[in-house]
Amino acid sequence: MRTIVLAVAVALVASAPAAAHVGVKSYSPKPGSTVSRSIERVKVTFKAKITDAKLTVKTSSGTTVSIGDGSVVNRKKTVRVRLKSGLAKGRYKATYSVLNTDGHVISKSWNFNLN
Amino acid sequence: MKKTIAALTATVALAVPAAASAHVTVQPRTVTAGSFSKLDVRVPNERDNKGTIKVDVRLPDGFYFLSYQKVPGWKTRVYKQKLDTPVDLGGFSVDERFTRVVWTAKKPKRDRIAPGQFQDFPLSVRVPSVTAGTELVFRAFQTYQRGERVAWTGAPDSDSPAPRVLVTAPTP
Repeated sequence: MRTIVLAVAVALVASAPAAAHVGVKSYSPKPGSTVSRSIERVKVTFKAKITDAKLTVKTSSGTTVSIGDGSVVNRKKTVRVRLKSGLAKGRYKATYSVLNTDGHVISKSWNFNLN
Repeated sequence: MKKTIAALTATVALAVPAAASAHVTVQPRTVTAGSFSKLDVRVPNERDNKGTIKVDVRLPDGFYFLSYQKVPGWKTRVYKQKLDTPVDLGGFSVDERFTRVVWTAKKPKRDRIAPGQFQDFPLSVRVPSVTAGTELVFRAFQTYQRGERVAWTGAPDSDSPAPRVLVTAPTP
């Protein structure tokens, strides 16, 4: 009986298509860091080329403080978005969503502080 | 015990891939719209005095994500085309599509698909998100040693039909 389960498991693994999810090379601002309120942009740079990506920034209460949903630059390795001016001190949450070159979509968030 | 044997037999039967037919095909014959799937271009050698040394497959519209598995002895070349108008995929913009994959035997005498053999050329793709019931048609060209070229581009009932794959609806 154990053999059968094993055979099925192997079959499932063998038929899965290749999936390669590109990692993040750098965040700006860095996760958990505190930076000046004068920053104009937030960005994420990936380790490899991506197909497309979006980036938004919100306050801890959920108000969007980025303008638009970002643009892809740096030969499709970076997504960046502009911030509204006059932001308050405090904690902000940035969320990116990336369409990888293999067709998979990945979303992730990180926090930083403005002072 | 009897039950175990029956179950085992069934598993083995499922695991054995479909036999090589006399035609160039793309396996499996049905795929789910929008799914991530492995497609095999299956190429049987149909001549008894020469081998296959090149396989050229043209992809239908809608292939935006594709990678290939290395086939020992064969060089793979993938062709992409910039789209005039980017396509919107779930809010993301895609600006190029895959159009063609060509496999060439590195050393024809050594690496050819010989008489009596077939070869699978595996691709990992995201299946186009087309309506269920749509047939994806892959026009294929098979080149033999000494130059004969077979165009697998015909209708389903022709002598050299184009490989076809039926797209089914995703399970909700």
